[in-house]
Amino acid sequence: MENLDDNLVHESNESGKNNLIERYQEGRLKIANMVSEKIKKHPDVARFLSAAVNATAGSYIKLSAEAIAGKSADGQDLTPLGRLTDALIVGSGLGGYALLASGKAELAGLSYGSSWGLYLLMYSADIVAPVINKVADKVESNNISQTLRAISKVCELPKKAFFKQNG
Amino acid sequence: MDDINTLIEGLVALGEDRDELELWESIYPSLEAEEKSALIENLQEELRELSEQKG
Repeated sequence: MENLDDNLVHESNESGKNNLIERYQEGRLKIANMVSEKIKKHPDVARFLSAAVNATAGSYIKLSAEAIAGKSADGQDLTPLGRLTDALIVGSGLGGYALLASGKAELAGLSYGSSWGLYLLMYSADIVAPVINKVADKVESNNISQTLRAISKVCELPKKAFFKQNG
Repeated sequence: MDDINTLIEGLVALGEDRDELELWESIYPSLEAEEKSALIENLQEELRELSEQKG
């Protein structure tokens, strides 16, 4: 009986710890969204988003929703890293439009390309890792590029880093 | 202010997700000042609560 009590206390502590960790991960996701929101509020990006009925903009909405729900559209549970990567795909993709609107076409292409690179990386990692690394290396003079170079680290991660393994 | 690497190491030791936190560590230098402080505050609070819970 004593062992049973010990087990119950242990399980309750574990579940309390997991809830606490999850609460703080949610908080960090809000910070990632702050970064994306700032880009979305750029007047030219806002105009683009409200005017365009565009499959790409639609995919950003889908990805944002996935990041918030913690689950992909096909029902796979996302890890904390998977949720964060979804949020960053949206941020760097919209950043591409902001740069294009400010006349920085080359950087815009790279930022937009990197957003797609991240997307492919998360959903088909093996074919895109070398490409995203090259793109991230190329743009060094800009805040967005600095972020992209940093997140190129995710290239080294296996798919299980983004999706929870069932069973 | 605590160093972000120290905070992350402490949190990972207490059960946090290393992949997610290492990505934050990579992004950290390019965040705006307010985002940096929001992140550090989040990590410090979590570390404090997890340490207290561990007792």
